[in-house]
Amino acid sequence: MSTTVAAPPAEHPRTRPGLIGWLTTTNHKEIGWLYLGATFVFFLAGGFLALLIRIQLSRPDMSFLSRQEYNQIFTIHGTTMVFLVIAPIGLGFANYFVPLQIGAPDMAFPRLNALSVWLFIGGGLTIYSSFLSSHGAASAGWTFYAPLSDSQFSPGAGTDMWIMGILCVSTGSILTAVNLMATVFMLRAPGMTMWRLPLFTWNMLITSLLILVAFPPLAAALAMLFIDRHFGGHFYNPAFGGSAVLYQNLFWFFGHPEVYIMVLPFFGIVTDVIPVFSRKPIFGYAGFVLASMSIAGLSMAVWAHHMFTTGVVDNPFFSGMSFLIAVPTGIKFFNWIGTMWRGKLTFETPMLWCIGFLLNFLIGGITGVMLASAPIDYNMNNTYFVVAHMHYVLGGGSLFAIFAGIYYWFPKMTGFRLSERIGKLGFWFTFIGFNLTFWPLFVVGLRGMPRRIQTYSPNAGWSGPNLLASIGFGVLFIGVILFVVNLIVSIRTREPAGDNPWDAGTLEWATSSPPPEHNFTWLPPIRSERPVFDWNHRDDPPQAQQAPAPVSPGTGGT
Amino acid sequence: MTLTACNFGAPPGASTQGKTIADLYHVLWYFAIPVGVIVYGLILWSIFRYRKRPGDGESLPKQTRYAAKLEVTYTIIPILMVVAIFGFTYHAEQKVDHLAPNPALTVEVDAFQWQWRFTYPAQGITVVGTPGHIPTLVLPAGETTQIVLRSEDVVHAFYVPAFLFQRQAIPGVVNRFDLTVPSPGVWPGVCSLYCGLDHTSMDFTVRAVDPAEFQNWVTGERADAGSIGGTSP
Repeated sequence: MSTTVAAPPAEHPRTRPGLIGWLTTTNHKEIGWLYLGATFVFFLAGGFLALLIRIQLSRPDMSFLSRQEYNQIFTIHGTTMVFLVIAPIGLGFANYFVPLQIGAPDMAFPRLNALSVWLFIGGGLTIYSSFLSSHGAASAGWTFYAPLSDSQFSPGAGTDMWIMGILCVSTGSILTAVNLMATVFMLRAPGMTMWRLPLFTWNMLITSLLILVAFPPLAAALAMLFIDRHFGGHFYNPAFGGSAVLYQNLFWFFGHPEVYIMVLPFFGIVTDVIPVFSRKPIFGYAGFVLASMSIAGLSMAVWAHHMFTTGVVDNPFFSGMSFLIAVPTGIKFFNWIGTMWRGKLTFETPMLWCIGFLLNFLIGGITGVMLASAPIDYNMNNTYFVVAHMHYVLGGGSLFAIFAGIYYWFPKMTGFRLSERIGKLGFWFTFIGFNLTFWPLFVVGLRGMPRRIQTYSPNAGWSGPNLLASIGFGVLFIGVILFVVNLIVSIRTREPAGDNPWDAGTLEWATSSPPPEHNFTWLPPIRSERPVFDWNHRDDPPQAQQAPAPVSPGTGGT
Repeated sequence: MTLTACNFGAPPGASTQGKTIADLYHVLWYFAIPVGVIVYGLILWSIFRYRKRPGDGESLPKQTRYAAKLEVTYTIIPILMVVAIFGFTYHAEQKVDHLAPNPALTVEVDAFQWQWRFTYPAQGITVVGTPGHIPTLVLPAGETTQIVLRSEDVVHAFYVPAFLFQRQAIPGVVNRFDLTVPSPGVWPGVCSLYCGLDHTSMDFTVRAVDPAEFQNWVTGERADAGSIGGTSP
């Protein structure tokens, strides 16, 4: 039995054609495209900056970049990847797919949504245009520690443009978070209870909550910095009763939830993809949701593990809380393994990227537990060990999951497939290149190489691993170029995908590819977290089927 | 080579405090290796054992959704491991952060863009680095030195990789820690926290010498003194 939803109002397209249409659109799918397109351009720009960094560090005593240039480049590389790529790409996927996954026609506040995306794009362009200002771009590191970032030590418009750009991006993120929460709470289709939400949607809901907690302190910290810079404030100046530690506390009170803002959406993608290619439902749905919630809760009480070496925070408390995050993260690993266990796995590109995610992210997770131990951090903090750890989490983890999401959803968004052959080739280049780049950085970190140095001496014992990392980056770069090639080739060949090429289960696969403006003309009955799968397999012989998640007692109440 | 393998890539710790950190680092690997092997093993086993083979047919595998006992188990075991790791961490940190009530020597370390100043208040000696001349922190081996760490401008960090130890120098904050170096030696140190244009070359050297030699050094420095920007040996 199919449930019909209220017919969408007669077609009166809200979107105008051409460039004006893209500038004025309020449709969640087009805004999703804007997010994804903009983040991809920023990703290529940030990747180009990484290439410059790896050239500079490939040999000791290189002078390819001056110190000033190098400092600007690593600052903007970090800023780009954190603020303009990994975090907003999650919002881009959410814009496109959260309404589709819950059977809604659009986001709750479409015009607010348009404001968010343009604040994001405007903020990013502000930061990049600062390369043209008189002192060049900001060079205080993406963490922007005061007093280094104040007007005495970092004069120049580039630093102010960075602050303003980040304030725009933060505001956009906060508005999107409000919008996503309202959408999930208010616009679910009949039968879509909270305990039947697809796990990508669940994780985006929890991510939105984290954004609401994390970004206002960042905005406050930067507003105070701006007042210090221009209006004679002394918030961070100890000579006048201010505190330099205050900046670190505020920044990391944002910064650690931010790590999970950059990870939870992609846990969600992986958790949607693995069941599809294992031909099984997710194992331990309720445990997964509760684990996401505990990660979110704990992430608000671990910020000072970035400050173990300050000597002014309660290290044992923050060590203990940080260790605890390993527990819910471990639960997720067992959810993914349990889903694959006794399945019938096939390795199309989305699944391949998920496997890459699992293998890389585990290294990021284990090294993360080590860094959570304060005495270990006395040694590793600010070395390349941290750089390698963080790239294993955000690059090997999140980025691989992002590629899984792109390969998984591209047919839905366009109606045609990406080439599997080029996709697999690209995966292997990226996977091998990634590990060749970042594994050696653990080694130089353990040998005491600090991060953010422009060059090093040939006697330091860091030359070999650095050269290997730079070669590895070349391989990684080819992998990314192969993705661009795949886009171009696939757009030309346009191999039709059909509405549900993967036999997937969540609601976005119930509509056409690409979906019509109002998303759905028909919905299957929603009796579990994968209604489309249930509907498509309704005539299968009865299997040893467990009842859906134990937390929704019979009635299916929320 | 063997040494590297035993130490999991980190130096063995040339100071007493660094040795404690190196030992803790080993203990954590004893937890990390089994966890890594088991989880990697489960992932790889799933991939190879449960892949769809030709002739498997299109029937669905058993649609298992949960297994409550198993889920409780894989929640509780990690919690127990976390408690154990926390115990080791707490114990090590108490030792590393311990301040001796009567250190043999106190040295004030002031960080500024982009140099270090080492002041020995009781001995009346000051050592300052200049561009092209890396300052040396001279310590008596086998005795406990208390470092009083401050910053004159932005945030820096005092890091000696061989001691596996760093501490931030923050304007407005006075940080104290003990360094005990059992035997003589020379080790490089750096500013590890990015502090602006010339962060890359904000280096120093630590030299531990026999207490008798330390006294000679003090006498020699005093004789040279008068110049506040005194030289380093």
